[in-house]
Amino acid sequence: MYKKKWIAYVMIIPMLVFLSVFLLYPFWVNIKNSFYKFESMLDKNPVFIGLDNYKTMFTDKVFLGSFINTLILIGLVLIFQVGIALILALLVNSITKFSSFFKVTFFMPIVVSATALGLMFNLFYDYNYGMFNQILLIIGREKIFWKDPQNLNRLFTLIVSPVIWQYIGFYFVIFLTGLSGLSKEILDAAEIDGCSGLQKVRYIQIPMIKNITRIVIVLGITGTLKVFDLPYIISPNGYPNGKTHFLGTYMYDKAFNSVDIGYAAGFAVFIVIAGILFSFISNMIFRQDHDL
Amino acid sequence: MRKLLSLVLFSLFVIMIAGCGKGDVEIKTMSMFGGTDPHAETYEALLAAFEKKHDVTITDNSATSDEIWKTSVLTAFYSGVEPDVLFYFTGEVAKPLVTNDYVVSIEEIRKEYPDYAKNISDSVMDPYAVPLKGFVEGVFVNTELFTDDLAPYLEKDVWTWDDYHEIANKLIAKNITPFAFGATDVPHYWIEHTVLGILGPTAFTDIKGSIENHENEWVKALKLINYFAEQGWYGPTKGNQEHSAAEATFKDGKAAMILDGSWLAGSFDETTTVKASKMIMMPFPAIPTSKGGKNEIYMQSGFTSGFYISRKAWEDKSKRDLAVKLVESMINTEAIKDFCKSGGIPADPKVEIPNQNNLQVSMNSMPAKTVSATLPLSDSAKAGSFTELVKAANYYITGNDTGIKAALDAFLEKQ
Repeated sequence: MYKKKWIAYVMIIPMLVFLSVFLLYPFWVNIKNSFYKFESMLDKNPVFIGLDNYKTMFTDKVFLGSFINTLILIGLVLIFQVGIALILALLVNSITKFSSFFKVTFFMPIVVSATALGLMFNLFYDYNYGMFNQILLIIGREKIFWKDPQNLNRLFTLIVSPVIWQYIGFYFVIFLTGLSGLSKEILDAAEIDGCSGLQKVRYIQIPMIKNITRIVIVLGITGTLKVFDLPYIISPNGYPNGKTHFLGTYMYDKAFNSVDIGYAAGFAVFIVIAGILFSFISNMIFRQDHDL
Repeated sequence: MRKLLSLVLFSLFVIMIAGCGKGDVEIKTMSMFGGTDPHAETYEALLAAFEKKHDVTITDNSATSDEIWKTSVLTAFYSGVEPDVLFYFTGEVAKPLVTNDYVVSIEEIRKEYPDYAKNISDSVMDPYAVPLKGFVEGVFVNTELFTDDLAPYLEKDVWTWDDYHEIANKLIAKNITPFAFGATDVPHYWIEHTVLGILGPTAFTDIKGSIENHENEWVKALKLINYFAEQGWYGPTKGNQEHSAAEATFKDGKAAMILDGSWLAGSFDETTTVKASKMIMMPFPAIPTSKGGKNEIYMQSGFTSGFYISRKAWEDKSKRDLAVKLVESMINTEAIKDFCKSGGIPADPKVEIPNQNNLQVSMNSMPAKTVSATLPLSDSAKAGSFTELVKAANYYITGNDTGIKAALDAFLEKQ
């Protein structure tokens, strides 16, 4: 089968057709729409306005705020989501007992829908019935208005925490797969040479999964650029006054609430370009010089 | 064993053939009676009865109404996969359906079917959609919390501006939140009632002129929300919470009142924590500084949804008659009576609803307590524009003039 390459090409074609119909063509239409102004969702005669949607984007304070929020979230994802996932993978990789239990437990949040998680966290934060406030009452403390919009830093933390937490397990599994594929001989040889556990991690394991790290970072960045469900449920409409919007939620808001289709299409193009750009930068930084 | 297997396969084959024989014509329907909507049961029963009577297959795609659903309906028409019969909003939201000739007018239908929807009052009929029932908006009151010094207020027909203040203060003294309010996603009712209260009904019929000439009054109206929040009317959250969370406090008896539409009545009966028999609806008070008129109580109500027949179904000879009959099966006197069991004003004047609970009787008395009935601002404003006011809800709570003016400008720009 591998010798007859045309078979592989034939089998790739259905996927190519699928992607062309459901991804490439819509994206092309989306790029085209970003140069038009639509009066309504069904506007058959939108007006061509050139780059106006893009110009408006960079003077729109809510857009700039949502972009900054997304950048902060990318930073937090790279530090905490990827970082914690790596630490957990290193720890689980070093043990033999209960490792399957940990794998399942850490992966569990991924299989729960983001919407359900958002609603669950909303229940945790609720002033009247929330779990956090019930705990405070049990220990004799005053209730806290967790989602107080006057305390933007806390509100932002409450929005991004479940986002970061949910996908730790996903990257944990990727890291663990990479770590379990490392040659045992190299690690044993290092141990014989007197290498401590931390030194093995620092000088052998982490460098050897550099490619995996690069993939995880690209996935983390692109995933964060389109984050939507959890922030949208926890803080609808970027409450207060659009200050907790991310690129994905603001794009949705413009498309479906404001029915500003052209402007939202511009957002989508921006998100894709930003994704490609950031992925390129991270690839540059983590470029593999040579295989170990 | 082989014989048994053959018998099972043959039976399956027969069932499949029989299934294929049933309902050669497929009627596609879409409505907002999906999910937990209180009308879903009646709607589904009527669809099933129609399917059985006319030997057709009905493919229903109903969902709870929200912005995504509204858009998905428009997109269905745009992509050529529209339903044959649709229950949808009227007014600005449905404008694309009308301007693109995607739906058939009642006038056109009546040329072929002169008695089509004749049982519906002409005064509430939309040119394209046949309404089922109308709604009223007002203050739902849990009378069980009105004890001791609050009891006398229940004897009154309406509450004045001062009454509301006294009631709120007394409730706060009892550690009860006067109003459940979730501004995060549904500040609609408070925006609309404060603007209507301060500016009067003309603000909703001439939105552009009203904002251009009376912007300060609009700001003043929206800043009332800040005034109420500071007075403690919305409790410790000051309204900074989701509507679902706010509604839960009312349903749980922790908040005494909630400003909402008559559709909320469907959530209460005698088995709920707050019982329908212990509830009333009161109008939002007249505001002393109103531009509209002194001591005039305004109400928001209307018939803002109805059944449409798509142009595609109308042009299809095999579907036209069925589509018309399907709508008629939904809007006949008996069907409307069923739909109105959960509250609302019937579009058919012949409908009499027996055994109405206290809340329903109270809602029906709303028109008599008010001087005018106006369509809500969200229905009279251009599609996609009201959201500009919704998004700025926190500015109303904090009383931020600059933010409020910016929201009004964005809203005005889309009119």
